[in-house]
Amino acid sequence: MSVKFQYTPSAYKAGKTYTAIPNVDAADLSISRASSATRINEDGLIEVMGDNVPRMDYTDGGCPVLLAEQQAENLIEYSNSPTSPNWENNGTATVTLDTDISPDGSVNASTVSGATGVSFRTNNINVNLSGFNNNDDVCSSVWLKSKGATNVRLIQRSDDGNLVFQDFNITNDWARYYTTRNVGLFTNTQFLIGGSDGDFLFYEAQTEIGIKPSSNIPTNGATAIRLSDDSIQTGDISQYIDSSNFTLEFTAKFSYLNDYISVSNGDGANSVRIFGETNTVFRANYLSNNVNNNESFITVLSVFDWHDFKLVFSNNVLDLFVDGVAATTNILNTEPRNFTFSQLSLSTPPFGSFRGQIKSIKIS
Amino acid sequence: MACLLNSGRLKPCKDAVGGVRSLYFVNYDVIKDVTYDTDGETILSINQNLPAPSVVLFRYDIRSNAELTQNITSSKENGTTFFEQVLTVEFTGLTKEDNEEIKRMIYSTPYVFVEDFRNNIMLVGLENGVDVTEGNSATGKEMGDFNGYNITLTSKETAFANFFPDFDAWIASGIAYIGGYRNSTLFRDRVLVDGGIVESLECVVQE
Repeated sequence: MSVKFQYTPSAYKAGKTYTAIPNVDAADLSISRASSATRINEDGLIEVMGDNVPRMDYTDGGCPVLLAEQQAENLIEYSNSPTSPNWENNGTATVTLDTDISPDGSVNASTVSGATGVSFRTNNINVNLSGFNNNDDVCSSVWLKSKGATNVRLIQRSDDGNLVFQDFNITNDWARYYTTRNVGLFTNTQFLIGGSDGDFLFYEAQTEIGIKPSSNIPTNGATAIRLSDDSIQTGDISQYIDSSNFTLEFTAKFSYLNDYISVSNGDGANSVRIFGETNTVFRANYLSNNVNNNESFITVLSVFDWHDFKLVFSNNVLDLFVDGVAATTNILNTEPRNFTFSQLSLSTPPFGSFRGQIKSIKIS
Repeated sequence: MACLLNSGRLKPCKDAVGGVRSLYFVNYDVIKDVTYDTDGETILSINQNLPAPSVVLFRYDIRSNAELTQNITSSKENGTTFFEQVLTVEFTGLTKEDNEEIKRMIYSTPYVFVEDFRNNIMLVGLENGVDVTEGNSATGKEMGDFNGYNITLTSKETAFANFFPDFDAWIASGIAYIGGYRNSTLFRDRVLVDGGIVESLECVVQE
């Protein structure tokens, strides 16, 4: 079968990212995000993208991915100014602002000196953060680069002294490091950077709710929210989909469970769709008039890794392949199909939008 | 079938030039059929199996490094005639992307539109598609040596490659026009006209 639709992240403007095949407006993917957001650009630099601008992200080098994230808030009010209010230098730790080129290409990285010694509680820079709910997972991250140091310790701790820490070997290249802690019965945490053996460079600290850091959310005097990337979908592409017999292939990395990628008639009640059901199981459904006609499921090591997906829909039966491995398919019902597949969607009403990364999508 | 001659030929002006400017590959299952002019040599229109925007032409800029030769084999004893359309091409420069794409070319049976330096467009392999029948890649020994691919594409057909003067009009009907992984002319143009930004064009349609 010939490729009738192929999206590869490459071209964009506010509100949309362009599809090459077919080379028509209806095949372009809309996107909305009512706030700015950052990405790693072609030059490997952190770049702020305006409201509703899709993010072609080059974090892993090579061809970009379409990055879609959920809402997140950086709770550090001065993310790149560790001498500002809320930040504190303890002991021998000192900070010199704007000494070196940072990951955004500007001379706005700071040098941290004296945050040394085993007694990281004494010599460190730190920021206090509060307002969490009990049992929130809180992730604190920062870009670091050696300026003599070979290691740094990142710490989070509560008022009662309960803490987690991680030691990192830092190099002469910028890298982002993070530590995550469940705040348990507390609603606050303190993010400390210390335990080093020399000077190091500091850029953009971020503390947010979650297990892993999301894309950088710069702040300057107040916390900041990056809103979610939503409504990622084509227009009417029914003429490019054989509703009786088509194959949907895509390479993606899901960030959350129950996020759907689908081909539908514009209605979640009539769709071919796939989602991560558990941490290790992908499930695909063919829904007709909200009746689950077929289901297909497969176990993988982690649904949050990169995977190649292939959904083959033929004669009202849906078969799923993940990384070339066939899933188990059950035919549950034979609800007649009386609709035309017309839309590719990275969200399926009434469910939320897909959050993760997309390398390519193809329909043949 | 009429087998009688019906015209002579004057010596033309000395305005001819040789060489191939570009090749346009299209996948074999794209063309449904064609309609001919009354001369039977000229294609008036192409009917596709897909809507126009789903038809993708992969353009290769050649600039003289290709030749179309059509060998006639006619057997008086057997009463048969066929035309072996042979397209020899040099693609300069070895790359991993070319390796992949040329491998696909070898595995498939595409059609090829050949554009010569007289702006003629001829469709090679209309009935049977073309097959890569010979070829090699070479690094060259010296710095000035050829580095790239030599490919021979062949098709046995019942006629010469047909001329297609309305090729541009066909493209303008919405045919996607993509110069392989290097260049996506119409895609890029559409994005730019719409006020968009194109990055990593080489990543588009590299699969």
